[in-house]
Amino acid sequence: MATKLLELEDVHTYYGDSHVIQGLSIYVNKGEAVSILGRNGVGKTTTLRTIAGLTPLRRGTVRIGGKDTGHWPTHRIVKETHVAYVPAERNVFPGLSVKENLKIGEQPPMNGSSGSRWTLDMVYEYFPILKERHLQDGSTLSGGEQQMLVIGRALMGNPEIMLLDEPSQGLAPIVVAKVAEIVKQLCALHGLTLVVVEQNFRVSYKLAQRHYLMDLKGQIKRSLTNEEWAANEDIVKKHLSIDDGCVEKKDSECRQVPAPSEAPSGAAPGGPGAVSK
Amino acid sequence: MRKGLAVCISVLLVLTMMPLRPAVAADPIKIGVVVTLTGMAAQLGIDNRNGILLAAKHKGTILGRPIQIITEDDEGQSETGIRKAEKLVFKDKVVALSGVTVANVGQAIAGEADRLNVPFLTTNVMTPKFYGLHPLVFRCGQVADDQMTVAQVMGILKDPDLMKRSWYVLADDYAWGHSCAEEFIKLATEKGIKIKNPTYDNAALNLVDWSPFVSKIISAEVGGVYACLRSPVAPRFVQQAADFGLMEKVKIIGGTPSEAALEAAGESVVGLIGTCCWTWDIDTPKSKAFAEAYWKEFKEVPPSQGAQAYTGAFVLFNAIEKAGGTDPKKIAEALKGATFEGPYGEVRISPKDNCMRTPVKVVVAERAPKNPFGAKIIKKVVASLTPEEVGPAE
Amino acid sequence: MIQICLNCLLLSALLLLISIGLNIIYGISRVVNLAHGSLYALGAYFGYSMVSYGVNFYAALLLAPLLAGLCGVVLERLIIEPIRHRDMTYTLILTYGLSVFIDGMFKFIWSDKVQFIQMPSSLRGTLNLFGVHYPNYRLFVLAATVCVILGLLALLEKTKLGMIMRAASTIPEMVSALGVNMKLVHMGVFGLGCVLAGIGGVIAGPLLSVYPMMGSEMLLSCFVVLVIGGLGSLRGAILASLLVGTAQTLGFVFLTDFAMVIVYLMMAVILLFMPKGLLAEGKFD
Ligand SMILES: Nc1ncnc2c1ncn2[C@@H]1O[C@H](COP(=O)(O)OP(=O)(O)OP(=O)(O)O)[C@@H](O)[C@H]1O
Ligand SMILES: [Mg+2]
Repeated sequence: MATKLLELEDVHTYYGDSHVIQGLSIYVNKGEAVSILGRNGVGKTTTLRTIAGLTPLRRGTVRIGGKDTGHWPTHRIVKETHVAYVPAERNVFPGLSVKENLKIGEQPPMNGSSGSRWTLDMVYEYFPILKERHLQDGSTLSGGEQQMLVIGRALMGNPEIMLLDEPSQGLAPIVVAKVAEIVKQLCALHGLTLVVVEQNFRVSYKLAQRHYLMDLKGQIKRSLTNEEWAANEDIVKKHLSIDDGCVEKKDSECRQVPAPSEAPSGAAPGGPGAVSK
Repeated sequence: MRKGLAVCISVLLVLTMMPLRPAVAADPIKIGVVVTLTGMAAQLGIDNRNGILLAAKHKGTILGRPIQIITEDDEGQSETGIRKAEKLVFKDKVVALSGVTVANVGQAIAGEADRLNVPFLTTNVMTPKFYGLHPLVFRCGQVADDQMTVAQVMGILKDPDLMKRSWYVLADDYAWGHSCAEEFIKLATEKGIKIKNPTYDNAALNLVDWSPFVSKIISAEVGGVYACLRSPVAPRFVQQAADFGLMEKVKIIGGTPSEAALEAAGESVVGLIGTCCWTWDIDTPKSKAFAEAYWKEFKEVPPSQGAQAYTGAFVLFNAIEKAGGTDPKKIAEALKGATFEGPYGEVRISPKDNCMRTPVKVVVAERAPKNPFGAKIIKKVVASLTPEEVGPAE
Repeated sequence: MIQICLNCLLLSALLLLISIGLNIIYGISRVVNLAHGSLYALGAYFGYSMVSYGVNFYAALLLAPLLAGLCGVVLERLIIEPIRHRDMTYTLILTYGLSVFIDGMFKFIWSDKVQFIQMPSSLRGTLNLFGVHYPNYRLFVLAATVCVILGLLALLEKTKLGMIMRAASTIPEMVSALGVNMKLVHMGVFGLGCVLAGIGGVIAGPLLSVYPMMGSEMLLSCFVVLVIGGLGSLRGAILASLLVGTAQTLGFVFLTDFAMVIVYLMMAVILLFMPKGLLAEGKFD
């Protein structure tokens, strides 16, 4: 039986007086990759921030690796449970070189963790471009490179769980595919547990094995496995109101949404084919 | 931090308890003392106050009544000075005001003389504006600016070595500095003393680094510097000049800093020439007695300011006694022409302008010989000037 | 000529030394510490007491700033940390109050007298530099400032701690998301700023004398340097110190008090047209 590495129970979070997450309960098993799907502003980012302790938990419990971390300060959560938060805005530190941006994430692996210890060289192996640019100011990198940099920075902390917020945001499709491929590999090879929030369906579908459909105020409408998604594309589509969504969304974003006939049904669930064109 | 708080709280407690103290004796003669106890001039203010307190102690009683000195801090501000003077006169009912460390406060209080309607005898304000200012306003203790300038010029005239040097004039950039420099240049030129820069240099008031002027003085190749700098500032200039090795070649004349400032500046002020009415170098019985008494009372190097304030206060006490009561007009009458034989000889208040005539010493800061006060620096007397030499004429 | 240049450099060095702490505290923690001048004075007073009790000047130069830094850390914990999440106005008012309190304490503990820290005899006298005699102590001040700034740069550029500080000056939240306790960083930075102020105090002590208001008087010049160089910019601070130091040194001789007017004008122009300072590196949120 799988152990729950991350568990949220009846979580309530506020921004000032506005009650943003109202009773959220989700869990992620060790080694599992889970995505959260939802329209803009439903509270996906806030969920990740709550887990990382960046937005204070008002009520409910957050358990990571069996520890009740709900009211811990961020640095303690990160240090003791090895959660790595990779925000959508990436937060590359300007003024620090690429190498420094990586080194600042350095942390010894968690006691009793099995995986090998991450080093600068290992990160460079995954992202050769970072090695090439290691002396350059991190903020001068392109969007895709920055995304790689912040993933690399997270890896330097030898994470057990990675919270990945919109990794494809603002990236060209080809770069998106590349980033997704690498993350997929990381999960497979290093037993990383992943929580990903992603607007781009293909990426979500590819990276995660299970998906939470989140509605306004952080309410979970339902949870789907990849197989269930493949069988019920409409549910996801309707949940995200893709049709009316497209009226507001930029054309490019719409095109990334799979047509009912194509992926994910056409590809083996979870297989790389789901993203390839 | 906690200790600081504890100190603070205990001070507050002491302050709040003070009014509860029972009066020592009935119906004392109250004298109000306004001095500057905050900021750069605080040292002078402290010396002033101490001198007056010591005078009160030595005088003991006036007309059989104990003397009560009430001290207020004017913080060097005219408005505060007036407020404190009003408080002393109208609330505490003092019969006379004394002290006052800085000129602006002195002038402000003198300006209110009619309203305050008590005799006001300053022991330290040096502005010539006090000559004949008001029937109730007097100066006794410290000399006036013009008297100091005369004494400094006399000091040069009396020393052949100083006489043959040419002088560089440096002044604080405000009214007092300007008039001080101009008076000196005028008088010195009359007496045949060479002035290198008759248009003199002005130093900004908030100057911290004097090196630009020191450099100018060095390149001007003069033998002397006449510095019209406020006394709290002067040691800083001298110290920095000394760093540059200026003191070996150049003589500096200026208003002499307080004893405490000289001690703080140490060795580097050696050679600084100034003038004062009293220094513990004066070897007369009265002078020795004062120095010892001051040391015993306050455990500080007996300061010029202290002796001057002591003298002024004594003259005031004697005048109240002579007036036979606390009537302002009668006290003022008694002050006119009053004389007193004190630590620095006989002083007299001129009936013409209500200001003091006194002997003045030209002094040089030197390493002190072994002395009971543990002083490192002594103001050594190099010339004595009579009241007639110093003036002004009556 | 050499002497004039050295004079300009010296004032610049002092300004830099005293303002640099203010600069890094703002740069990294976004705290405008109006008590910075008082901590500079505190360092000077600690140094004064130590030296007058016979402690070696160089030892005092090391110990007094550390003590000032310790006081800074305590103050940060007690006063600034609890209101960190509030509006900046709170810190401004509170640190202003703090400076008044500290200045007042000086009078209680050390009295209002103007004091000098006795300079070590090894630094008395002058050195012949290309035919110009320049006081050893002033040359020492220059050298010490260069050392302090180089040390600070090495700390910031070459150590993990420095990396964290630089990162914290940009996206503090992300730094804590990497497992760093930002409270400790803020505390450490405040302490470091106070140590630097303390060094400035001890070094200035034999030159500019020690008195209760010395810090508040200095604070203004520090702010001028801070604004001209750009809030939180180290390189800007160096440039601005040179500029202000030179302008003041030359200005005070030729224009007396008008020199300050020029400096303030410079500040106003920079505030209006280049709010990020001369090098446009300032950190305005
Ligand atoms: N700092 C904040 N202060 C106040 N309200 C906020 C703040 N950040 C987010 N919110 C609000 O909280 C709600 C949830 O925001 P959140 O960023 O978690 O949504 P999201 O699901 O990540 O959306 P998106 O797809 O746009 O990233 C939104 O309504 C948003 O307006
Ligand atoms: Mg979001």
